[in-house]
Amino acid sequence: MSAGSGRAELPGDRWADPPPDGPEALAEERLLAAFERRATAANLDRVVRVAALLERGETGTLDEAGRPEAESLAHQVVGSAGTFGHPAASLDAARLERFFGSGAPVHERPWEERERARATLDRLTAELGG
Amino acid sequence: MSGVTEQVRRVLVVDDDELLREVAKASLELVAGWEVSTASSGQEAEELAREQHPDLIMLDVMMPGQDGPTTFARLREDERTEDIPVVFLTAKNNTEGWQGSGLAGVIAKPFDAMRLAAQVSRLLGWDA
Repeated sequence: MSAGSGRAELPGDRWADPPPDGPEALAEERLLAAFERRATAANLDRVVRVAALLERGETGTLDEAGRPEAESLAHQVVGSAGTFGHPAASLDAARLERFFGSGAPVHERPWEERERARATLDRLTAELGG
Repeated sequence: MSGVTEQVRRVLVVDDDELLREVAKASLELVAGWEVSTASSGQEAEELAREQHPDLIMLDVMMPGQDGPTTFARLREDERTEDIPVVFLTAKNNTEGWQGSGLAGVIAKPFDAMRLAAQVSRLLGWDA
């Protein structure tokens, strides 16, 4: 099992023991790749839901439950995307989590702030391959 | 497969994200050879902790319904589970409020599946 092809290697990011090779390593690679495919699909679905909530926020139709829902969805992407090979997507999801987690109602935010959120959402979607 | 520890540990992984639960379980079982059970909520974690009394509970912080800190507090209040070490799994940056709470440690999400067992062993002082 490896850390995944899209994952940035960190300093000191090494095995406690030498990594296995041969058929065992191949099986682990395939297992993690399967996890990554499923996680990426789940995260794209979450991002689509966040996009819909942002749109409602911009039109002033986001109800009280919508904002914590968007924050929670973004938070889930933070942990999942980073673990499954998309560190940049994890960082962008964290930006969206902060956007929904504090501040004025979305439709009352400055235009530039909402535009940044939209751009972050677009970038996040692209990072996940959507 | 080279194991991180020689002793078989029993770990309960609690996370509302199914895939994170699965990858943590697969990693800890494959890399370290530990026995891993999983729960998807705080309530389920309490039940399993009482039944199994694992060597460690890895507990997600932000979950719908009963969150991680609430679950941790309830585990500490129950004499059947009060002595089980708990490590928080979290994507939150601010962990200052948890210092001195009796937590065994905090592991940041995202985590590297292949290093998870080594991280846990280091936190718990388990032989590596």
